[in-house]
Amino acid sequence: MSTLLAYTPFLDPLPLHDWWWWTIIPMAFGVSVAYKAVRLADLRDFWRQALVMTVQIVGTLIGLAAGAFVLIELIATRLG
Amino acid sequence: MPPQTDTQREVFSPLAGLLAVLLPGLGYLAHGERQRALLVGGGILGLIFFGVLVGGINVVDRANDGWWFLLQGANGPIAFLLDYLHRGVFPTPGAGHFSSTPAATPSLAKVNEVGTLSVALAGLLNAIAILDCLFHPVRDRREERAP
Repeated sequence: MSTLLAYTPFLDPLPLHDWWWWTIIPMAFGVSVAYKAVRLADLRDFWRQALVMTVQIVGTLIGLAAGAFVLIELIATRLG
Repeated sequence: MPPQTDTQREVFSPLAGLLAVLLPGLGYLAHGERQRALLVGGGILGLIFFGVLVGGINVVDRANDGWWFLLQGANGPIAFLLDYLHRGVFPTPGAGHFSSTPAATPSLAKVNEVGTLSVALAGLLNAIAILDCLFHPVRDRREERAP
């Protein structure tokens, strides 16, 4: 509680050490919004395109993490 | 995005490029694209806001994280302002900190990495936006309406 009261936004970091991986979603969304806003010629379909790109980024990272887990925890341990 | 055709040409606009350097998204206003300016500016400034909120102001540090600042600096004056605020106004506690202003708590590990990465990604995206404003495609409206 005392830690929470002493918290000053932007001067103190958020206590997200156990939850840091959730930050990938807003980061992917921000990247998608800025990139699609530059890239799309027609902005009528903008929000759907930005959401699709967000899902693609997050999905790819989950896939890479799953692949690394299988390689390191399952395959490499059996070979070793 | 529709494929680029031979009829699509680009205009060189130094004013729009300069405005894009000054503030993310501002260059598109010079091209008369208000909605695009808001979306680009919102996305890039949102990433900066998020990065500093998560990692604290010390995620922008020209002296100690020089390589990261190469990317973060592409955000323009806002990155240099954050660096100045971090080092000059709200320094992290340590030797030489006798200021009456509150000190910034240094972030560590993943929280620092997330904040640093978020501001660096914003810089990379702003670099794309600056180039797009400098060499802006002029699209033929009649061609867009064609089936």
